[in-house]
Amino acid sequence: MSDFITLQDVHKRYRVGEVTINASDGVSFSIKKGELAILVGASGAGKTTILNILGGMDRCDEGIVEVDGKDIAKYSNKQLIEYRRYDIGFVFQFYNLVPNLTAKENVELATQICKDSLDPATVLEEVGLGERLNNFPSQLSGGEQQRVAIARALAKNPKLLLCDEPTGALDYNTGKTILQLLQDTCRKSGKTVLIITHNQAITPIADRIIKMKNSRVTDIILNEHPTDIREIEW
Amino acid sequence: MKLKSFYKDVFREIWHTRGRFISIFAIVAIGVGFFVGVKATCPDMKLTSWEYYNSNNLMDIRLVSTLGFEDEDIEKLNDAVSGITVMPSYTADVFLQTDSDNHVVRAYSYSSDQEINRPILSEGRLPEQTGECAIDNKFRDAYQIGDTITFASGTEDPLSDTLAADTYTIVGFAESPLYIGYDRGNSTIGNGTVDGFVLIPEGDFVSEYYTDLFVTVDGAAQLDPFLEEYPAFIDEKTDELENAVLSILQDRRSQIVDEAQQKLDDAKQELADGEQETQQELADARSEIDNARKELEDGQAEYERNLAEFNQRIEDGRNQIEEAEQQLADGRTAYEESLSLYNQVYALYTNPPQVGEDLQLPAETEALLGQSAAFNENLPSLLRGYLLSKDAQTTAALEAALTQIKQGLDQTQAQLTSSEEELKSQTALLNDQESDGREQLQDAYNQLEDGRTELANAEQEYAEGEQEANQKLEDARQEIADAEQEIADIPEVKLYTFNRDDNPSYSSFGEDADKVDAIAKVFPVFFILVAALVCLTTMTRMVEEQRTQIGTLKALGYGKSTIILKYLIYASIASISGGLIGFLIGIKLFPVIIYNAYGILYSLPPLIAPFRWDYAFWCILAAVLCTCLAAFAACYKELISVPAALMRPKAPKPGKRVLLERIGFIWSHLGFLKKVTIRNLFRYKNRAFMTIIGIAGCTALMLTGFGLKDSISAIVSKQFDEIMTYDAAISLDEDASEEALAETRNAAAEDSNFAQSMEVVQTTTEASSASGRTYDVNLFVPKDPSQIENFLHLRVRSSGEPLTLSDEEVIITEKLASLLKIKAGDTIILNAGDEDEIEVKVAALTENYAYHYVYMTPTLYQNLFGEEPFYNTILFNEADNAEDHDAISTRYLDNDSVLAVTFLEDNTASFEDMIGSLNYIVLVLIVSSGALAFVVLYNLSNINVNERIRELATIKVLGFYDREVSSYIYRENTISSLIGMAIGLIIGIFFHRYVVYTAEVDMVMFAREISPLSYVWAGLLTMGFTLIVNFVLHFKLKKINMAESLKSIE
Repeated sequence: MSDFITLQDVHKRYRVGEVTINASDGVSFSIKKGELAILVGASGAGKTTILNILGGMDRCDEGIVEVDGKDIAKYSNKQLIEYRRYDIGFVFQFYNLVPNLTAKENVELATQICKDSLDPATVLEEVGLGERLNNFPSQLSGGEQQRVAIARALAKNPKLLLCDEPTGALDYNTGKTILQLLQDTCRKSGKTVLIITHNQAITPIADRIIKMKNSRVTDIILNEHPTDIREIEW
Repeated sequence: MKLKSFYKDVFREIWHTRGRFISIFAIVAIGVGFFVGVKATCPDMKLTSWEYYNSNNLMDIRLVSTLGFEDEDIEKLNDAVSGITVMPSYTADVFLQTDSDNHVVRAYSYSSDQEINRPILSEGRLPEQTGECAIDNKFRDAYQIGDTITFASGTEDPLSDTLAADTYTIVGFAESPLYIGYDRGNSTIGNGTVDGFVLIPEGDFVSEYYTDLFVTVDGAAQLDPFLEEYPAFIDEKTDELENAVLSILQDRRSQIVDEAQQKLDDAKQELADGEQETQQELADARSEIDNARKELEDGQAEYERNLAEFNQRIEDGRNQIEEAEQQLADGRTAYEESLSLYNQVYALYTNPPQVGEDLQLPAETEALLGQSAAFNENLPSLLRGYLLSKDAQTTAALEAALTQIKQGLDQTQAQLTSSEEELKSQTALLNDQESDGREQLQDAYNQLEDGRTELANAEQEYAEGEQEANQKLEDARQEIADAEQEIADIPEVKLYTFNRDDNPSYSSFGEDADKVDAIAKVFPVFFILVAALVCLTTMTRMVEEQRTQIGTLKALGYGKSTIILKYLIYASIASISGGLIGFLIGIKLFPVIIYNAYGILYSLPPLIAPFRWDYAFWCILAAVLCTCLAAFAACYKELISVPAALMRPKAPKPGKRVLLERIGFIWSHLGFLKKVTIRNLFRYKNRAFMTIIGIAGCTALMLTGFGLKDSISAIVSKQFDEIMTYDAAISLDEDASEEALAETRNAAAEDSNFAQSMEVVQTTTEASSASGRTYDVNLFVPKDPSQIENFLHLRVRSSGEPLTLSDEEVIITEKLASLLKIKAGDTIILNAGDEDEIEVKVAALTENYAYHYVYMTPTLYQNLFGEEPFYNTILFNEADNAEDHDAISTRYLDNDSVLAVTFLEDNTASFEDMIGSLNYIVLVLIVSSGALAFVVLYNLSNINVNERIRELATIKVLGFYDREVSSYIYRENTISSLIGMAIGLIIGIFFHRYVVYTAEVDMVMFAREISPLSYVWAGLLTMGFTLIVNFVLHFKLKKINMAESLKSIE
C-alpha cells in the first residue's frame, strides 16, 4: 500500500520575542492507508504541532505535508477549511462536545456540513450509544462523551481520523474501551487513524509507532502484530 | 511585601484582560458621561444665563407710566424705597427705513455710564455722540458699520417729538441682556412685531419725560433667578415700588392738574374781563356812531329844510320878478299901444283926414276916435271937433290935450324904464342870492356827505372791531376749551410694572432648561441602569473565568477579603477611571451640544459648564458600588466553595431542551443551526436577557428621540394646519373710539384681501377647578358660532369627531383639562381668584397643542358675565390674491383702534426654528443610544465568544467556514437584537409618552403619536448597530485559534 500521509522535513518555528522556538525541526514520516498509527512523545516533544499541521489547523514553515497525494502545506485558508471539513475527523482529549446539543445533534453538527456523511443515529449506534441519542453531554459519562466525539468524527466519513490524547481525560477502563473502538473502527472501516499520546503503554496496539522527542522524530516502529487492547496495561 | 505582588497581579490582570477592562471602563464612562452631561445641562444653562444677567446687570423691574417720569420723581422714589438702583431711560418704537425695507425697531437711550441693562458690544463701538447709534446684532447681515440709517415716526406725532435727529450712523452692533432670544417683543406700530433694537445716545431723546424706569434690586443678583426665592423677592419689592411710584405720580398729576386748572381759571377770568371790556368799548363806539348818525340826520333835515326854504325863496323871488316883468311887459305893451294910439291920434292931428261933405269921418278914423277915448273922455269929441272944425280953440284944446297925453306917455315911459332898471337889479340880486344860497347849500351838502362817509367808516370800523373782538374772544374761548381738554387729557395715573418674565424669551429659556432636566430624569438613569447590568455580567464572567486562580490563591492561604479585594480593586479602577473620563467628557460635551441646539433660539454667551464635582462624586460612587457589588456577589459565590472544588473545572452549563421543542411541528421545521441558536439563547438566558435589555433600551431611546421630534413637530403642523386654520388676527383696542372701531370692522368685513373674516373675543382669564391650581387661559367667543369651522376646528383628538358649541356649556382644550384634572361634565371655574368667579360646565375636550382655550357662545358669555362681549379680535383668512402681509398690516395699523395684526405664519416660522434645534437633541439621543447599544452588544458578544471559545474553536476544527462560524454567533445576536428591538419599540412608546408628559411645559401639548417612520428608523438603526457589532465580531471570530480546542477546560 502506498503512503497515505507523508511528512517530509517539516519545520515549524515560533518567534517569541527574540527567541525562535523550533516546534518542528525537520519532521519526516509517513503512514499508509488503513493503518492505526500512534504518535508518541513526552510533553513538549512537538506532537501537538504535528497534530495542528496535519489537522489543517496550522501551517508549517517548510516541508511537504502530503495527505492522500495532496500537499496541504500549500493549501489556502479556504482549502484548509475544506480539508478539515471533508477529509479529517478529529477526536479531542476533552471531547469538545457542544454542551447545548444532544449526542445526536453533536454528531449532526459535523454531518450537516459534509457531502457524503453517514447517518448520525447509525454511527452512534455503532459506537454503542444507540440508547442515548437524545442525551445532552452533561447527562453522559466521560467515555460516552468520547464515544459521541468519535461518532461525530466518524460520521463525517473522513479520510483520516486524528485523535488527540483520546484517553487523556478518561479512567483506565473507559480509556481502554475507547482505544478498542478506535482500533475496531480502523480495522472495520479501513480508515487511517492517527492517535497522538504521551502514553507509551498504549503504543503496542498500533500498526505504526512514531516516536518524537525535541521536535524531531526519533524512531518509527512498524508493528506487524499489534497487541490486543485487552492485553495492554498502564 | 506580599501586597506588592498582589498589586502587580491586579495590574497585570488589567493588562491581560484589557478588553474586559475597557468594556467596563467604556460602559461606565458612557453611563456616567451621559447622566452627568444631561443632568448638568439644565443647571449649566441656568448658570450661564444667570451669569449673563448679572454681568450685564439686567433689570429686575421695569416701570412704565402714563405720565412718564421726571428726575424729581426718581429722587422721590429713591427717598421712598431703599435698596434699589433706578435708571431712568427713554424708549420709543420707530420705523427704521431703508429703500427696500421697513423695520420696526425699539430705540433705547444709551449712556456710557449706564448701570442697568448694559449692552454687549459685538462689533464696532457703542454710540458716543449725537447722530450715532449701535444696532441690534440681529441686523448684522443687513447693515454695516458706517451705514447711515433713517428713522421715521410710527405714530401721528412727528419724530422730532421723540428724537433730535432722524438720520443716524451705525457705529456698532450690540446685544442686550433684555433679549436673550430672537424675539424682540410686540409694538403698536407697523405690523406689531419689533424686529430689533437700536441704542441711541440719551441726549438725542427730546421727550419731556423719561418713558421707562429700569430698576435693579439690591441683593437680587445673588438669588438664583430660576428658583422661587427670586420672583418672591422681586414681587415683594415690586409691590413696594408700585405703591411708592403710584403715590409720587399721583402727586405729580394732581400738581399738574392744579397748575393747569389755575391757569385755566385765570384765563377764564381774563376772558370774562376781556369780554366785558370789549362789550363796553363796543357799546361806546356804538353810541358814538349813533350820535353821529343822529347829528347827520338832523343836519340832513336842516339842509333839506334850508334847501326847500331857499328854493321857495328863490322861486318866490323869481315869481315876483316874473310878475314884475309881466307887469313891466304889460306896462310896456300898454305904453306901446298907448304910444301907437297917440301917434295915430297925433297923426290925425298933424295930418287930419279930409272930412267929407257929409261931415262924416272915415270909419277908421271913427274907430280911432273911439279908441282915443282911452286917453281922455273928451278927446274923441275934441278930435272930432278938431277934424270937423279945425277951430283954434278946439285945436288948442286938442293940442293941450295932446301934449298932456304926450307928457303922460313919456312919464309912463320913464316909469317903465326905471321899473325895468329896478327889475334888472332885483333879478341880479336874486341871482346873486341864489348862487350864494346854492353855494351855502352845497357846502352844507358836502358837509353832510362827509359826515355820511365818516359814519360809514365808523360803521365799518365798528363792524371790524366787533368782529375782531369777537374773534379774539372766540380764540380765547377756544384756548380755554383746549386747555380744558388738555386737563381732561392729562392721563389718569396708570403704572405698568414688568419684570424679567415679561422679557421675550426670558421665561421660555428657563422652561427649555427644565425640559432638558425632565429628559435627564429618564434617559441617563436608564443609561446608568444598563451600564450597571453590563458591569454585573462582565464582573461575574471575570470571576467565573478565574475560579481556578481564586482556588489557588485560597489554597495558598490568601484570605477571602484579599482575594475579593483584587476584584474590587479591578472593578473600582475600571469604574472610577471610566466614570472620571466619562464625567470629564460628559460634563463638557453634552451640555454644550444641547445648549448649542438651543443656541439657535437664544443669543447667549458660550455655556459655562463647571466641573460639578458633586455630580462626579455621586455618579462615580454609584458606578463603583455597582461594579464592586457585582464583583463581590460573583466572588462570594465562588469563595464559599472549597479550594479543591474551585480547582476543578466548573462543569459546563448543562444543555437543556427548550419549550419550543415540545411544539413539534415548529421545531421540526427549523433548520439544525436554528435549533442550535434557539437552544443557545435559552441556555445563556442571562446574557440573552442582558442583550435584549440593552438593545431594547437602545431602541426605546431612539424611538423616544424620534418620537419626541414627531410630537413637537406635530405641534406646528397640527396646531396651525389642522386646528387653528385662520391666517391672521387683528387685535382691536377696547379703549378706541366707537367710530374707529366701526371703521376697522367695516373695513375688515369688506376687505377683498380676506376670504372670510369673523369677530371673536380672545381675552385672557384665569381658570381653575376643584383641584386647585390656576392657569391662564384664552377665552374664545366667536360672534357667530356657526362660522367657527372656517377658522378653527374643535374636535376630539382620538376620534376626530367635530364638536359644536352649545349655549349651556363650554368646550375646553385637552391639555387644560388634564392640568386641571377635569373631564367632560365637570365644572371649570373662570375668573378664578376674582370676586366674580364663574362656574360653568365643560361639555367636551378639544384637541389643541399650544396655549389653553375656553370656547363659548356669545349667549353663554352674556349669561355668565352679565354683559355683551367686546369682540376684540378679527380673525381672517387671506384671499388667494391678497396683498402681502406688510401692506395689510400697515393699512390696518393706520387706524387707531388696531393694536396689532398677527399672521400665524410668523408663529409657525419661529416654532419651526425651535424644532430644527431639536434635531440635535435627537442626534445626541441616537448617538448616545447607539454607543450604548454598541458597547452592550459588543461586550456581551465578547463574553459570549470568550465563554464559548472552545466550542467555536471546535466547530472551526470541524471545518466550519468563517462565515458559518460567524453566523453561529450572529444568529444569536440577531435574534436577541430583534427581540430587543421589538420590546424596545413597545417600551419606547411608554418612554416617549413619559418624556412627552414630563418634558412638555404647561403652555403646550405635545402630540401623543409617533409617526410610523420613526418606528422604522429606530428599528433600522438598532439593526444597523447590531450589524456593526457583528461585523467587528467577525474579525474577532476569524482570529480564534483552533488550538484553543485542544486546551483543557480551565
